[in-house]
Formats: sequence, structure tokens, C-alpha cells
Amino acid sequence: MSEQFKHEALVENRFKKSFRNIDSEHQELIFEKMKQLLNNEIQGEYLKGPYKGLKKVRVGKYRIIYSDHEPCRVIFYDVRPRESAYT
Amino acid sequence: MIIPSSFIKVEGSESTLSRRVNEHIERYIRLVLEDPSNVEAVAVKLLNDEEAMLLFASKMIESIRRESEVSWRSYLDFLGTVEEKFRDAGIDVSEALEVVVEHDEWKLRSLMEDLSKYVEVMSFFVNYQGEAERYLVVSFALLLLLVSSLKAETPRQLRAIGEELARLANELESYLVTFMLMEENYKVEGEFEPARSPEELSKVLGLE
Repeated sequence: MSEQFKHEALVENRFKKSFRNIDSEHQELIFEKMKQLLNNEIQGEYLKGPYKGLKKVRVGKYRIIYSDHEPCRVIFYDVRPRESAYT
Repeated sequence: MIIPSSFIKVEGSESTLSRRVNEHIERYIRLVLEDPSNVEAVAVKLLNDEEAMLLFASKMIESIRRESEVSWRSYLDFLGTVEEKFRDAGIDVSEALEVVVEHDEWKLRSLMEDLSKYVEVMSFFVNYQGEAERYLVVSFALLLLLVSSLKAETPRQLRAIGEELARLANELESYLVTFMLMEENYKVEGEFEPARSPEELSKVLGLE
């Protein structure tokens, strides 16, 4: 049996759909970042206003939107491409 | 904020308005260069300078009304110059600049394509006043840092500006993502699948 995460992950359907459309190289990077979040190794930053319970974290050309306000649980809502014209 | 092209050409700007903006901002740039970690306080001073705000507003309107594509290209050129200066000093600010551009691009696109939607998003300023004020401070602090970086004379000064740039760009990104979600009226769907281990997560994501 493999090692458990410190926190349970809950992955929303929208996250899964977005994830499936991402190239395998970035999928790996995102997967690693999710593991870090689930093991409490990194922290993202809170959003503002109506979304202040959510957090964001950058992964290469993508951005994960999640929340960790419930104890021992990380909820992954979406993963989106960053839209910068500056590269 | 969208930085008008002629404004960012700190030297040799053509129009009277650009010249006045440049002259007006000069003293704030000097303050940032003296102590980059004080940039937020300088931004607050700038925000309380009514004449400066009026000039900025006029300049932004002028820049949007005129050829926004030309302004935008100039802006990217300006950021390229900023990045090059940092790179020459061995400092990587590319992530911070990407966030700033993404924010400004979103703002410009929203303004040009769907003004009513943009106004809707800007209800943020009415409903979350404390955070909205902070957003303005962060935006203007970043503007001051970008312009200051071109005038920095020592690597130490540039490093301090780069650190502030990274920190504030990260904060700007929180606002940007918030505005993007507001624009699309984002709502949580509520259907989740659990995972407690890397294997389970891999399966949930369809990696196997």
C-alpha cells in the first residue's frame, strides 16, 4: 500500500475535464504540485472579494485553483492556462 | 494598470500630457530608488496626489482612444527593456512580468470587448472597498517599480526592486484571478471525487 497524503484530495469534475486537455508534460508538473499541496509542503495565495476562500498557485503555464479551508482536506476546483502574451 | 506607451518612454516623450506625467512622477521614482521596500507607502502618496491621478486618468484614456495596439506593442517593448536590465544583473523577473502583462492584457481586453461586463466586475470596488484600495496600491506600486528599475544605478538597488516586483506581482495575480472568475460568474460545481494517495489521485485524474 502506498503512502497516504497528509490531506485528502477532492477533485471537482471541472478540474478533471481541464486536466485531460493538458499536454502530458504539464500534467506531470501539475500532478507534482498537487502532491505538494496535499502534503502541506507549499501554500498558494488567497483570492479576493467573492472568492476569498479560494487559493491559486502557479504551475508553469497553468494555474491551479483550490481551497484548503476545510481541515485535512484540499479541494481542487480547476486548472487553467495562464493568459500572458509576454513570454 | 495599462501603462501608456508615451508615458513609459521616460525620456523624450512627445506630448505635453506625457511630459507632465513624467515630470509629476519623477519625485515618486526618486523615493522608490532611495528605498524600494518603501514602494507601497510611495504608491499611497501617489494615489493621494490628485493632480497625478488626473494626469494618469487622462493619459490612460488618451492611450486607449488612440492606437491601443501600438501602445500595447510599446508597452511590451518597455517590459522587454526592463527584463533585459534585470537579466544583465543576474536577476530573473520573468514570472513577475508575465503576471503584470496578463493582468494588463485582461484589463485592456475587457475594456475594449465588453465594457458592461468590465463595469460589472468593477463592482468589486463598491463591495470590497478595503481590498479594492489595496489593489490600487499594488497596481501603482508595480508601476513605480517598473519605471524605477530603468533608473536604478546599482545591482543592489535593482535586486531590491526585483524582490518587491516579485512579491507584489504575486499579490496582483490574486486580484487578476478574482476578476477573471467574476467575469465568468464562476461557481463551484459541487461534484467531487476523493483521493488519499498518489495512486488514487493518478487514477482520479486519468493518468493511468
